[in-house]
Amino acid sequence: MDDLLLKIAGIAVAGVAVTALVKKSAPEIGLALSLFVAIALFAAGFDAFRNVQAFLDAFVGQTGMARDVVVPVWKTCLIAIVTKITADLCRDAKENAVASGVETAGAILGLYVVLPLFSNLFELMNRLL
Amino acid sequence: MRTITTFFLFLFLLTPITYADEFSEAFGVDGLEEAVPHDVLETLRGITPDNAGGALETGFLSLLARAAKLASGSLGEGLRAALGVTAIAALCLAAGSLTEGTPTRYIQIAGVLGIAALTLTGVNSLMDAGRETLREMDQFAKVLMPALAAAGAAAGKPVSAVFRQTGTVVAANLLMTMYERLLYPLLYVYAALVTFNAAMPRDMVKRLAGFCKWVFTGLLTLTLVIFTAYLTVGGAIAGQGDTVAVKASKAALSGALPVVGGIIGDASETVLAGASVIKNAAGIFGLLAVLGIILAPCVSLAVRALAMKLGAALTGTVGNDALSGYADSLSNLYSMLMGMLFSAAFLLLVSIVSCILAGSSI
Repeated sequence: MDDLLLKIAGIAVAGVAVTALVKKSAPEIGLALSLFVAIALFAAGFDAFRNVQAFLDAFVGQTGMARDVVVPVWKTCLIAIVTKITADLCRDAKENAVASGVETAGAILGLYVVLPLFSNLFELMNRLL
Repeated sequence: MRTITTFFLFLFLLTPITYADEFSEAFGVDGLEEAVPHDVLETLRGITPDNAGGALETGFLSLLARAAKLASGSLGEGLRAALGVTAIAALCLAAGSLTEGTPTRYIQIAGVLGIAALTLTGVNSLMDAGRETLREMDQFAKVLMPALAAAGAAAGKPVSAVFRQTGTVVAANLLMTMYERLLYPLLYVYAALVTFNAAMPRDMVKRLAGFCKWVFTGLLTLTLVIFTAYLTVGGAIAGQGDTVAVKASKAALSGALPVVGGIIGDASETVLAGASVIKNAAGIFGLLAVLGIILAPCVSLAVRALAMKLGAALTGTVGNDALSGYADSLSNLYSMLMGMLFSAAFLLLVSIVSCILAGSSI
């Protein structure tokens, strides 16, 4: 895991340095490089992410929690992270309107994913009240 | 003549012992066992209304042993729920800190909905179990109180026996109606409000949820205070009436039958004492049965309330205050339900103890 962190740090520092150099002469290529670095960092961290997911699966199995409950919460968290990265990239490209659009879409998707939980709760409350 | 009189007097003195079974049947004590759920009878291990007189300690120990067994069974489930709540809160907090700066209120909503889905289904089944327990207690009270009243009347406390039975039956009916029509809906409203409050920003309905809780606890406390006051004040007045009635009966008997009347009047105390023994045994059986009836749901609720408090503490440790507050409110929900069961049991227990103590002064 330490190696992975060093790898991520190396990619980030090198990426930022190259992007800063290129950005002045060719901003479009600089943006493409930023995007590439972001994707590379995300891919580098994917192994760790898979480990977290495996831990969560094991946790759900051991505690007897319903997967139907955990999966929507997990998906919402992922949507929020992807939304954040995408919106930041858009802001780097000075596309604030697109960034806002991404954030709005992320919020709608985040809520959409937990709709089954909401409908369960609503059904339960309806039955109780 | 003296021999014949002594013989009949001897037979008369034996009456309470020889006809104890007939007394039990006449007072309706025999039907008590049938009104108690099967698992409670199993827990009491052979304690019956006839032999419960000296079995209070044994009964309590049996109930304690069962409570320990039930608690260890529920503990794992409660801890799993607490860990689940903590895991969801930690996940939401991690995602929230990674996405700082962007509007991610929906992560909080997802967390609240996840915790609600984990716990509220359990709350619903516990509420059903609580309803069933209240119904069982009500049915048992309807058999126990007339039996205690009949035995109490035969033991020389006719006025206070009728007074207690009437008071308890009326209060039990009132409480059952209040539970069904007011307190259960109030619990549901409280659950809905705390869930809504946790999902929304700025504690929008926190005070309203607090008001629901205040009304709930206030109503329970008020009912119990009124009932206890009724039993204490009314019991003292009715006790005076009983003393006068018993003295008047003795005087009338002694005056109406010269020589033998006085002896019969004194011997009648033995009959009163016999009825008192039956009443006390039935009362102790009733105490143990009521405690046995509420044992399983109360242990389950107590363990879950504690586990949810632990979940709230752990969630607070990971730094998610909103979800920690929500877990705390859910723990309060369990405690409120437990308080409802305790108050119903308390009402019956006070009434039974008051019946037993009233008989001990003969």
